[in-house]
Amino acid sequence: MNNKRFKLKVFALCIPGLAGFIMFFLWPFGKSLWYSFIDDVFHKNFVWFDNYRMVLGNRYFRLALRNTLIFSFVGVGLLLIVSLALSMGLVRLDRRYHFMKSAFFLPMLLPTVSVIFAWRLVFDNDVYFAWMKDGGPLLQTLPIYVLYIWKNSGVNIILLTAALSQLPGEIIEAAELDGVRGLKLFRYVTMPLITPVMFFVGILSFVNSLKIFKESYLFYGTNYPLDAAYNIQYYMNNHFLKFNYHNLACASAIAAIILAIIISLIYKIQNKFTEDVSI
Amino acid sequence: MRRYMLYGLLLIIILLAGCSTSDKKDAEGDVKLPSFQKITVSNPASEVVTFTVSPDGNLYILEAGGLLTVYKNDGTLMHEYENTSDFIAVCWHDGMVYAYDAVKQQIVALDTKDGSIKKITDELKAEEILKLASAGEYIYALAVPEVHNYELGPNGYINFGEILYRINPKTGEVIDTNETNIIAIYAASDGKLYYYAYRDDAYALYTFGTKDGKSAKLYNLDDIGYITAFVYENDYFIYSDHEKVVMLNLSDNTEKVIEEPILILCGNDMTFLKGNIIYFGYYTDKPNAINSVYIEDINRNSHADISDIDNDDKKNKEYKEFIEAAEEKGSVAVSIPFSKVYINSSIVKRISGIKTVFISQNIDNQAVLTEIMAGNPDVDIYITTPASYLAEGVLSKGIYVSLNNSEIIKNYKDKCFDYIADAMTAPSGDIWMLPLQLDSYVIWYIPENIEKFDIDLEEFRYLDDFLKLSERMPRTGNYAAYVETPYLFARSLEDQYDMTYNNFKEKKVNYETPLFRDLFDKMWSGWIMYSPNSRHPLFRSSHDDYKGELMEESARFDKTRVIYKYDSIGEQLNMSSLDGWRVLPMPRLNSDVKKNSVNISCAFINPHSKNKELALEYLEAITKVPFDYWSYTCVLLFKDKEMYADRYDITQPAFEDIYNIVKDGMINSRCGFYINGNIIDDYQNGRLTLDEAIALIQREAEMWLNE
Amino acid sequence: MKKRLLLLIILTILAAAYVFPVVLTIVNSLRYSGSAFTLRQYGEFFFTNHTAMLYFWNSALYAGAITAVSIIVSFPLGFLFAKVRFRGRDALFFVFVVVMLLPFQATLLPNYIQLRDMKLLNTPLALMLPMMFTPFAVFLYRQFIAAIPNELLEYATLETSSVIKLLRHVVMPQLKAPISALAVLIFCESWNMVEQAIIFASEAPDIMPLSVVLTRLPEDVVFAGATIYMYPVLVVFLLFRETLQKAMEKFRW
Repeated sequence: MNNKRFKLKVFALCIPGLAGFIMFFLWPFGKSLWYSFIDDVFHKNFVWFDNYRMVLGNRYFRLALRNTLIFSFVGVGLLLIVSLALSMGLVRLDRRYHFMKSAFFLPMLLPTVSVIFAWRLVFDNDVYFAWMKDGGPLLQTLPIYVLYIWKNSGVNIILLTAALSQLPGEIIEAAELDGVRGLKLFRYVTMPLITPVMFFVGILSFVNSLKIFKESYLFYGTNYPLDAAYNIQYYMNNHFLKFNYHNLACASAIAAIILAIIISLIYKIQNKFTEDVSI
Repeated sequence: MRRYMLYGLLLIIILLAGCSTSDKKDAEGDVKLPSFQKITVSNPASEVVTFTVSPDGNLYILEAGGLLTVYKNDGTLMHEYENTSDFIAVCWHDGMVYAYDAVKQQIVALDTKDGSIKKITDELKAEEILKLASAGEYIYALAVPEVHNYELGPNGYINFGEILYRINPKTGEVIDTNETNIIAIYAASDGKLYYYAYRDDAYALYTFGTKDGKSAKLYNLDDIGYITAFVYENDYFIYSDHEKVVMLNLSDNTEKVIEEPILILCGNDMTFLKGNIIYFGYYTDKPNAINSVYIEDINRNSHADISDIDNDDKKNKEYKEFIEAAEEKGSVAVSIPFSKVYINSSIVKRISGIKTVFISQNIDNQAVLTEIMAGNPDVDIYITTPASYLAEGVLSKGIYVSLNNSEIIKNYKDKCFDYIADAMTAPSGDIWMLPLQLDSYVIWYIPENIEKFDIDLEEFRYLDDFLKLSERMPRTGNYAAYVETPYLFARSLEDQYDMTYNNFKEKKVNYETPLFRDLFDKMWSGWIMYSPNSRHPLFRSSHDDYKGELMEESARFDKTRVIYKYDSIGEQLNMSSLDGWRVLPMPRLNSDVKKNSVNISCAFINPHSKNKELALEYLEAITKVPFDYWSYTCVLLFKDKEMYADRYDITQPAFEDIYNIVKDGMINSRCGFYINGNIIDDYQNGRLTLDEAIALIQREAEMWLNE
Repeated sequence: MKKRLLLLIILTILAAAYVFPVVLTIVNSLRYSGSAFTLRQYGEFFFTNHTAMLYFWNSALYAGAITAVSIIVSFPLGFLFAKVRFRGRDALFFVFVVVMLLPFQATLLPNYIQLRDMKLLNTPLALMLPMMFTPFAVFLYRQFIAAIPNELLEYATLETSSVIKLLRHVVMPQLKAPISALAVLIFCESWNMVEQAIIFASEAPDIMPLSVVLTRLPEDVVFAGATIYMYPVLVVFLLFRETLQKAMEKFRW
């Protein structure tokens, strides 16, 4: 299978997909990287790293970055806990109640625009608003966290329940015979077995945490939301509206670098944990 | 067998014969192409709003202020009706003149013999009736629910949300016909109602079945595009777009331009009687706006001209020489964020030979910005205002073409006020734009009424005094003292604050001052009509439900009953005369505010365009006719008063006032930062206290500056 | 046993909470300024505003086309990354993943210029093309295909040397469930498209998807619009529920 001819044939089939990707994703990204090194789109003078210095020094950018990272980590963490808890609960139920999984999966598919009105009814009323403006960062961003968890637990639950139900029963029985129970059972037996799935779920959740901008924008309805909700996408959007395309490109370059670092870290850790190489 | 073939042949011949006979009704006389002359009538009307014609050829002309006058066919005045002050649309039906009473919002009938007025229908739910037409037994009314609410659609279609009502004059019953997208209507001499509409992406002529209430499409007229009025008789389609009147023969598709340039607006407008086309329009290339009604009488070759034309032939001749048509030179694409009817492209074409192609500019900021950043080669000139996202970005990034090479434009700049000349200069020293118009909002007052109510002019100087004054104003309905656009008033006050205390360019912005706090509170917690609990009736528009308490609708238009009003300069300068008025600048926040805020619009050349030289010539042509390029606005750019002599009445004291206000002006340009409407909404809803709202505004301003 | 019952109750409540917003939307779409049960909102949505359905079909067209094309086009790429070894494979895949994570403003202006130069702006293609080649599909394909045992493929290459036959007869049957899962996910994502429509089709309101129009509807018709907009997703969901779950379960590491 791994001879040259085979590989070339597969390559040939991949050409449309690759071409599309390069044309609509890679090349624009490259061009925008180029933008980050010039002063503005019109005059095209090279300024090297000046833009980066300016962006990194800007406290709103740092705020946005911090918020985004916080949201990603905390959000993913919460999401994992919630999904895991729900999955463990679901697994213990009788077969016939497993259709309930679907209820959790539904929110992921729903279009944002449709649900935002219902969410506004719940969160955008006077009572909550009063709490929100005085409360700390937690209350201010709570609606977004809830939205995020609500939307993304479905897929995680399905994956986790599948993994949990495929656990080799013998190992668990053996452990129980040895007297390991409850929390210890969970920590030392179950967790390592589902670690690969957890990693995939983690990455998927991380990917989805960056997509939450649409919901956030529609919910707060403004370009300048409260401090704790100000994401890096807001930063980029606002600069876009102000013609500062080079700032925008810098921000996305920096974001890309940080994302790359995070992802490669996750992969490395994961590879250490699992024996299977094919991820 | 042969017999059947013979019968069949006979049948076919009969059928063919039947098809070829025309089933059109005989018109009275063939419609020949008219030639035009003018005769002057005995009593010129001050301003014609609309007209209708009786079957024996009498003209019923409705003037602004509501005077209905009747003229005979040759221009002699027959009668003037006086109790018609609230009429805004008229049509002749069955021996009486039916009209729409704008105040009572009803259709009424005027008996021409004794002048009595009878009510016909109940209140109609429309803000404005554009046109009334009588077809068969019914009267049709083309109405718009909200005259300032229009949508620009594709292919130049402007959607006012027109509604077509059918009224039974005998019973007073009003039915909504549920026909949509109607642009103009016409009741033909065959008793049918025709209308021109934009449906399914095409313009077409439709007939409205008067008995069964159904419509049918007659002709697809997509080549013509958007029109303002039409006449359809006997296969002749005579229409007016915003530049000319054209007669199109639908059977052989030939067309001829009857009159050019002329602007005929919708609403009694054009009609047909006994072989004549009668229309009323504005000439767009003559110095004074001429309102003329032309009756083309083919038999007698004469017209009736009812106008206040300046009969100084010499001046007309000079102007005519000046604007002899130049030869064709090409075309320039101009991007405008409003309807093209406001721009007189024909005059530029006459002077320079350059045709204008209009491209509608997207009103969505993000889309236009993307377009400009990406560089659109199809647009040559952009029209915008300096107080916008667009202008600020373009200026700071240098996305314009320098106009320094043009001596003409440099001279033009020297003729403008100093602050305008400054605005025309980019930081690099180049001239980047050409100003097209200048307008401002001011206080207009009638000195006699001011005396009558014992008002001191000093009370108009500062905001606090002005508000106190307004509370004293009478509320019996007889006199009017109002603010035409409360929202703009509020925003102008904000502008004053920004111009005086904030400096966006140097990043010094402070909204957390007691002055702004006070201003914000005054503006949004009840002074402005947008607030749910608007406290001050002065700032409520008369369209509101409390009608009549402060003033009647008609009082606004009656000069003798206006005490003072806040309105734009352009509105008055163009629509009526300055006689009797005086002008004061808008109230100021406090003594720190030293200048009056003005708004200008400007045009700049797109650096990505392929026609830069032609665009430059186009701009130079505009400088030769600065007052005529843009209709319905005022152009107060020049230092030298004599330059306005041809156009405005500079002898009036009101003009002197206006000039002094504009001389000391400052152009609104906030660099794109606006106070967020959400914050204002939240404050009005009670979700935010005043201090919190101000803090949020300050925060947003800082973020906007420092992001 | 009691523990089970308690668990069941808690989970039911949570499940209901998850479905609650949907129910809320539907319930609100049946009300009209106070009155309890009336179909007036739908009446207004369909009849007075009858061009709204046009946008619905626009959305359907985009979602359908994007789903179909991306499934077909990403398949070989997924296979490439999963099974075929070549130098720089992991690095290239890494690039795919990173680009996938970027928000769209990063590539907006170059995309706009591209589409304009290709004269595709304000046409339906402008909205469809960028999303047709999304790396998300490749990412998921790769994960699914990686789960297929290598031996199976080795065995198949002994039988035939044609790649196409290999993909069609060996790999695809294994992926039936994952493909439908992927189709559903991509369908839902493209059904959700809003920002691209605003920028790339700003001058042609006729080809807008319903998601954009929904935000501009008047207040009282909004819930009916939202329900109708959700409707295809709900249908797809109910139809493919089982398949989706089975596909997810097949994930192996």
